[in-house]
Amino acid sequence: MKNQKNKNYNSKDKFVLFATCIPVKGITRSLLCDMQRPNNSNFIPNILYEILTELQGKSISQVKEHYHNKADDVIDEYFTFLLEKEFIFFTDNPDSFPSLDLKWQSPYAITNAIIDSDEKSSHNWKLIFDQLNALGCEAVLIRSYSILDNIELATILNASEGSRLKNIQLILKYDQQELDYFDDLVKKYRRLGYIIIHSSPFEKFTNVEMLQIPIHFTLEVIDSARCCGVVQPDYFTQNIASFTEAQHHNSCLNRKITIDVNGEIKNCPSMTRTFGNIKDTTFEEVLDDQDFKNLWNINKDKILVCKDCEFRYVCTDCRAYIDEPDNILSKPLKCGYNPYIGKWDEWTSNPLKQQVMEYYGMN
Amino acid sequence: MILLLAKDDLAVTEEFVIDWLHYLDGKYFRLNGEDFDHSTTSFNFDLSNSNQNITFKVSEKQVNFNEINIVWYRRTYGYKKYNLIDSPNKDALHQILYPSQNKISINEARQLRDINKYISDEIRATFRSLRGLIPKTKWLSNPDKINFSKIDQLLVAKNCNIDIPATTITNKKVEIQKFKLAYENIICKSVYETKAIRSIKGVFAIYTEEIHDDDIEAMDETIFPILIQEKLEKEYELRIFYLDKKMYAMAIFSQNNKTTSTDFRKYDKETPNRTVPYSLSTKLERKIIKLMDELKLKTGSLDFVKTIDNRYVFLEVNPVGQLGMVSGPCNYFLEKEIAEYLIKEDLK
Repeated sequence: MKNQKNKNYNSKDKFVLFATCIPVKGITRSLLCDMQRPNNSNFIPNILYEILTELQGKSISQVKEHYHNKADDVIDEYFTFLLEKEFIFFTDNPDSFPSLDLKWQSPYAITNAIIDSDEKSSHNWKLIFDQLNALGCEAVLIRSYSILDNIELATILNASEGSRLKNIQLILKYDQQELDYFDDLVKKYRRLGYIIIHSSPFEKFTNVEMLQIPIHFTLEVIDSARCCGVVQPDYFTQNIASFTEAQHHNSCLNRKITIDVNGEIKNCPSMTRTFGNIKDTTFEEVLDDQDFKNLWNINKDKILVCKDCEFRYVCTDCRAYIDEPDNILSKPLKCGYNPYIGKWDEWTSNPLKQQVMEYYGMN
Repeated sequence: MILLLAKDDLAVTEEFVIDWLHYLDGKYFRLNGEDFDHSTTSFNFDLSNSNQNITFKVSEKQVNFNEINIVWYRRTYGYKKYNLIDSPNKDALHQILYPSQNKISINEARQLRDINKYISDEIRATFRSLRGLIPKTKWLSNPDKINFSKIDQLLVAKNCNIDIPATTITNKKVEIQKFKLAYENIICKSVYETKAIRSIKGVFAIYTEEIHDDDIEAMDETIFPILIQEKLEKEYELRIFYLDKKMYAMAIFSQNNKTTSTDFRKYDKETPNRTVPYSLSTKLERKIIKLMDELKLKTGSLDFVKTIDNRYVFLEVNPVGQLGMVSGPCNYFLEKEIAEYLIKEDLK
C-alpha cells in the first residue's frame, strides 16, 4: 500500500479494518466480506478472524505479543495479505474509526414482489401494479412458465408504467424472438433490469445493446414454482444493503409479496399457504395479518446449519423447500454447501435430500 | 405542512426523503421550479394585500401558504432547456423558435438561447418571490443565506479557528512561482465552481490539478485569474454531513489510488476508494457548529482534509449537496434523519 509507505507509519500505529470489510465466522473458516469490492472478498482462517475482531486497534507488535511471539512469521504473513488486499490500514487514532452500524431500515412496506403466470392465469395487472406502487415496492419479478405473446407482455409492462417501481425482471419462456425484439423492449420500458429466457434451444448470455441490460437464454426449463430456491454462489450478493438486511431478516422473504399462477397471495409462490386471492383480497389486508410477516424475521442466525456458515449474510435463503419440511428453521433443501467440512456438493445427489424431494413432488 | 422546493429531475436524495416522509406520515407538498410553467398549475400572489390567503395548486394537489411551517430548500430552479411540451405558450413559442422544420441556424440558436435565458430568469424570479410570501416559516436552509462563495467560506472558517489551506488568487506568473517556492507542491482549481464542458470530442470536466514547474514555465507573465492552493498531503479526506448541529462524517481514503489522489471525484470503478464512518473530535465539532452558525446554515456537506501531519483542513461547504455518497457507504440513513427533522419542525 503506497501511502502507508509514504506515510512511514511507525510500528506503534494501530491496525483498523476498513468498516466495509466485515469478517463472518463459520465453523471451519471465515469469510472476510468486502462490501465495497465484492471480488476482493476472501476466506480467512478462524484464527485471523479472532485477530481482526478481538485485537483490532492494536499494533502488529502488540498482536505478536498477544500470541507470546510464538507465531510472529504467521502474523507477518497475515498482515502482508491484509495490507495487499487493502482490508486494513494503520493509524495512531483507531478510535476515530467506528465500525459500520449494521441496522437495516426501509421506507417501503413492500420492497420486492414476484408475479407468476402461466396459460391459465388471468391477472389484473393494472390492479397489481397500482397496489405495489402504493406500498412503495422497488423491484418486481415477472415469471412466466408458458409463452407470453408480444401483446400480452406489452399489456403487462404498460400496466407498470407510471409507478414508483425501480426495477422489473422478466423470466419468460422462449418464443423464437430475435435480440432486436428485446432491444426495443428495454428501450421502451426503462425499468427492465434483467431478462431470463428459459426453455431456450441454446445457451447464451449477453447484454441487450446500448442499455447494457443482461439477457440470459438458458436451456433450463422453468415450468413451475418448484424450480426456485436454489442456493449457490452465483446468487450471493455482497453489499451493505443486503448484508445488513440479512443480519435481521430473511434474505429471501423480507418485505416480499407474491402472487402465484392462480392469483393466490403468498409469501412465495412455491409455498402452499395462501393469504387470499388477488381477486378479492388487497395487499394491505394481507399485510395486516401478522402471520404473513412472521417469516420475514427468520434470519440465518436462526436457521439450522446456516447459523454455522460463513456465507450466512451474503447468501439467499429458501423457506419453501427445506431439509425437514416440518421444521421451518431447517436448512434450505437446495443448498449443497456443508459448512462443517467447508465443501460444496451437488445437492440433488445427497440421498437424504432425495427423500425430501419426493415429498415436495420434485422428480 | 412541509414545503419542499426542488427541481423536477434527477433528485435521488429528494425522492428518498419523500419516501421517508411518506412512511413516517409527514405532511408535505413538493413544489418544483418547473411547476410554475405548467398548464395544470395555478397560483396568484397579490403583493399589495398583506392579509391574503395564498393557495398554490399543482395538478390535483394544493397547498395553502398559511399551513406551511417549514420549507426544505434543495436546489434553485435550473432550466436546462425550455420545455415546450407542457408550456401553456407552446404554440406561440414554437412558431417563433422553429419557423421551419429545417435544422436551426446559428441565429436561431442564439435566439433560442436568449429566450431560454429570459424564461428561466423569469421563472427563477417567480420562484424566489415565494420566499417573502410564506408567513411563519422556518427554512432548511434559507436560500437567501447560502450564497457564500468558496473564498468567503474560507475566510469565515479562518475566523472560527479552523485550519484552511494556503490560498492565493492571482493573474501573475511571478506570484505563482513564489507560491510554488513557498509550498513546493501546489494545485489550482476554479475560483467559482467546477464545470463540465461539452464538446464534439467529449465532455471535459475541470478538476483540481497539480501545477508543476513546466506548467508555470509555459505561462505568460500575465494570465487569466487563477486560484492556487498548497497541495495538502492527505492521509484521508473527510466528507461531513451536517444537520441541526449534528454531524455524520465519512473518511475517504483516496490516497491509495493514483487516479483519485488529487480529486476524488475522478472515480475508479474497479477499486473504489475506501469510504468508512468517522468520529469527529468534540473540539472539531464545536468549531464546525460555529462555522455553520456564522454561515447561517442549518445543513450542508463539508469537505475537510486530514493531512499526514495531523492538520484538519477545511476546504468548502456545499449547502445542498447530494447525501447519498455519505449515507449509503456509512449506513447512516441520512434521508430518514432529514425526514424526521422536517416532521419534528413541522409539528413544533
